[in-house]
Amino acid sequence: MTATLAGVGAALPERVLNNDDFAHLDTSDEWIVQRTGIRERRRLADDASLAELAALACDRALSDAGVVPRDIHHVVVATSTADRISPGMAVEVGTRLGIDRPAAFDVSAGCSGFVYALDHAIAVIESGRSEHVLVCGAEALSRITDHTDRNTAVLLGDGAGAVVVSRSPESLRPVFVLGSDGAQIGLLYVGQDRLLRMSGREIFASAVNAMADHTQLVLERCGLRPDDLDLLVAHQANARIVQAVARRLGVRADQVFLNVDKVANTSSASIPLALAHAHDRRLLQPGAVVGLTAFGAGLSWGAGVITWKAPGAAGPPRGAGEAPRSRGRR
Amino acid sequence: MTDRALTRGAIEEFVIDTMVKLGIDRGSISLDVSFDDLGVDSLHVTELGQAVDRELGVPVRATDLEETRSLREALDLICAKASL
Repeated sequence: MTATLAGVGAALPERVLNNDDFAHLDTSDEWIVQRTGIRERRRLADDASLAELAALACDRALSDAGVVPRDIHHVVVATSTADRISPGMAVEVGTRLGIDRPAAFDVSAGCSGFVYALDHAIAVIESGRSEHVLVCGAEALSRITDHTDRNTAVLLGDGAGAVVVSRSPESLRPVFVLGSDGAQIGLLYVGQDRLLRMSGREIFASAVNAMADHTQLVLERCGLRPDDLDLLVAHQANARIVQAVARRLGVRADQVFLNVDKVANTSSASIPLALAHAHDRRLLQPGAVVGLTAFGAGLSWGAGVITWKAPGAAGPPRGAGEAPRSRGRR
Repeated sequence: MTDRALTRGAIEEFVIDTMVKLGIDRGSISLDVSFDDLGVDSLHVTELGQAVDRELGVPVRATDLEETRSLREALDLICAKASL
């Protein structure tokens, strides 16, 4: 038994900040675009609920997968910016979706959090304990941004993305590799002052190395070549990092998805948001082989290969007669 | 390339080829033109250091090249790291 990505959804706050909104930090649109590829990012209102945004992304993922809440027994949310320190945001997300008493918890693994959560979901399905698992990445990074630091303030955005992971009898078996190195914790962290600190140059180099090397490793373990990937979705920290990873792997530009221009770095939300936007642009066909790779605070990293909407995946119960819950715009 | 004896000339050739791979126009490359005039930014320089470290086996860290302002300065530093 194996697992596939069965559906995806995204939700973004309405407020858009463009690069000109950071002119007071003595930076410019040209500088930001050249070094990061970022043109705009979203900002969650100070009094808004991140759990509400996460639940909206999850609802859209359930609709896309054709899975109803009663079929979900596990909800995992990757986040470092939850509304409350405890309990995990997944509990509230499950309740908002009308899921009946699911196993629900949060994962904190920096920008790698979504890949960690996805790896867990796959293990739950492969062990036969569940047919569908809901995995969400949601961040309000504006809550941990030093808004006076031009080196980080321009990079970060808010948003949520979610996938439904479903049992699939026939698809390529997902292969994931996760890791961490606490010896380099000081390069990227959120401390007691609740503000994100980053040594940009070292993180750039470490991110390129880790994402390229571990993507290569999972491809080898799958018996695939870089050319076999239908789409590579890397953590959208910075377009220059993603392009450097692509060069190192030798993948074509059309195999690599980028939406960092529209959403900036959304940490744990980055990969599911990118998957949702790739889906919107019709870049994911059923059966597509997708590479995922992430890197972040820890240092932590995770890379994997999984099939998009593998044929024969467990779907909604036949004859249940329930329409998908919503068809809202992403 | 790690099997080959490194010379300053071989490193120079590698550095220029790397900058071309990073999108810098080969025709505009000269060792003494400033990075600003070449359109080389801090991330290009970081990638250059990574390439030198990985492909030539010369131990250059991400921050080692950050004070260099031209390819000649970068080359001098890389050659020093390679004991050349």
